[in-house]
Amino acid sequence: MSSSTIQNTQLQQWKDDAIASPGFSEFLQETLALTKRLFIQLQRRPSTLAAGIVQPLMWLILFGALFQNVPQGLFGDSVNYGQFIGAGIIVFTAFGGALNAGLPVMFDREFGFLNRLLVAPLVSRFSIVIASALFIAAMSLVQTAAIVILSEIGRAHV
Amino acid sequence: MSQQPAVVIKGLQKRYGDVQAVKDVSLQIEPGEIFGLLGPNGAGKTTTIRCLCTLTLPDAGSLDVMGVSVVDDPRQVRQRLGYIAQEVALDKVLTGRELLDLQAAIYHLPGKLAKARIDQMIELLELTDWADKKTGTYSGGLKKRLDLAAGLLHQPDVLVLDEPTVGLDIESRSAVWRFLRQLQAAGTTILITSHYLEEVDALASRVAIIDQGQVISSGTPANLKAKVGGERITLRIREFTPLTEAQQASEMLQGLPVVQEVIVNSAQGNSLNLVVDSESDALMTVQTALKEAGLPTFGIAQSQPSLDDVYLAATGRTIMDAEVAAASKRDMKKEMKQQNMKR
Repeated sequence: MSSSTIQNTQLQQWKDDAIASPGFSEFLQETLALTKRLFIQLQRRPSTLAAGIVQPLMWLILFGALFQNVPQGLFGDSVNYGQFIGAGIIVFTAFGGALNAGLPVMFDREFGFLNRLLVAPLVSRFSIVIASALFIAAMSLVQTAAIVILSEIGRAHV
Repeated sequence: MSQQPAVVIKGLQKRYGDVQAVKDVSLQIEPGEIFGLLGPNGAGKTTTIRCLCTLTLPDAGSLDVMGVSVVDDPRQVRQRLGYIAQEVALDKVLTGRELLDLQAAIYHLPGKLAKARIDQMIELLELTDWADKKTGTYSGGLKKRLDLAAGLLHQPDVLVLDEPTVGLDIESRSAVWRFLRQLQAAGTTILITSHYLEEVDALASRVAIIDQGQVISSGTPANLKAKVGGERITLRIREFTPLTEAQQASEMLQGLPVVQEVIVNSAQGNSLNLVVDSESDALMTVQTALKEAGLPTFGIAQSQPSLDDVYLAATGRTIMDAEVAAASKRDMKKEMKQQNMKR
């Protein structure tokens, strides 16, 4: 190993230019990279996704079965109990997801990974928050879709 | 290249609650040197480094990296600094390459350049076989190497390492040392903290000893050692010498004109540590004196003063003692808290 392989002359040139002014594209770059990390984590731990879908379905099935024989017209004439609780569970799930969105940052802080992000020249540290928000919004959309589809299937079979 | 210093720290102070972690630290690090920051646990090394790396705001004092103020323009400082934390923090489920991808993106390297640089670092740190495996499966030495690769990815002007070889085996440690020397040869300024004296002795061109939040001594290792003066003789009368016999021998040796000081080291089986004049033939004199007194010799060795002796002279205690003292202080505090809670 010679000393010339440690230094990268192209990189050195780039660096001298880059330090001056960061722009929106840099902000996008860091945000996307942080979001990508969360999705890789999800991909490597698919049980998180499975649990995220199974849990609202359990509410749906359990409560659906429990209140099957609720008197007609309790929630107005146009809405049956399935529709009523379906919407409720979607809100409930999205809210729960939002509450848990900060958890990865907490763990990063606990294990020192956050320091790695904080010593980096991020254009704005909001990118850490936005990455979490993007991830959890996507996750909630998947959950919502699963709830909608499965409650439709459930209704068709009843 | 201009000859402005790489890092200037002036009158740094930092307080956490009622603990004054850093009282007064001033340092100057020249470009291209390896600077060692030495001191026991709790001396304020890590706090100094955290302030330098923009992780903590200082209470008072100024810090400059390559002429840029850490407080006024932290983003530019972050771009110029590489920071390798004491504890390696990796995401267990990411592979090495994915971690480096992330690192490249948060330092905003453009795609093509990033890819080339990542390949370069992987090869340089001999991570080729491991780059596409999850970091959760890495050994301690591998993790440290990946951490080094990540810290160096953006080619920092100044690399800051906090206790880089804690918990590494001898082989990994010397690999890290070799790499740091190469890095220095390529022109990177390196600030390294350690409480391993030999590490700083082997690597650093200049050293500052820091204790209880203050710089108590600084200079080149050779300089510091010369300042302490004298040579050291370590003498073992028996493998485990009875204390009375050690004290007798100590008194006898103290009478010799070449011997400046004798310390009985109870932690090392009551061996005797002597400070002797460096000019005279002290080793022979001591041996003859022992023979005349009818005492056996299990082992005797002469050495130049080490950095530990420098530390001893500066603080009046060894690094080991200082750590024990710090630990017992913590225990005292804990006990007092518990007692207060009982009341």
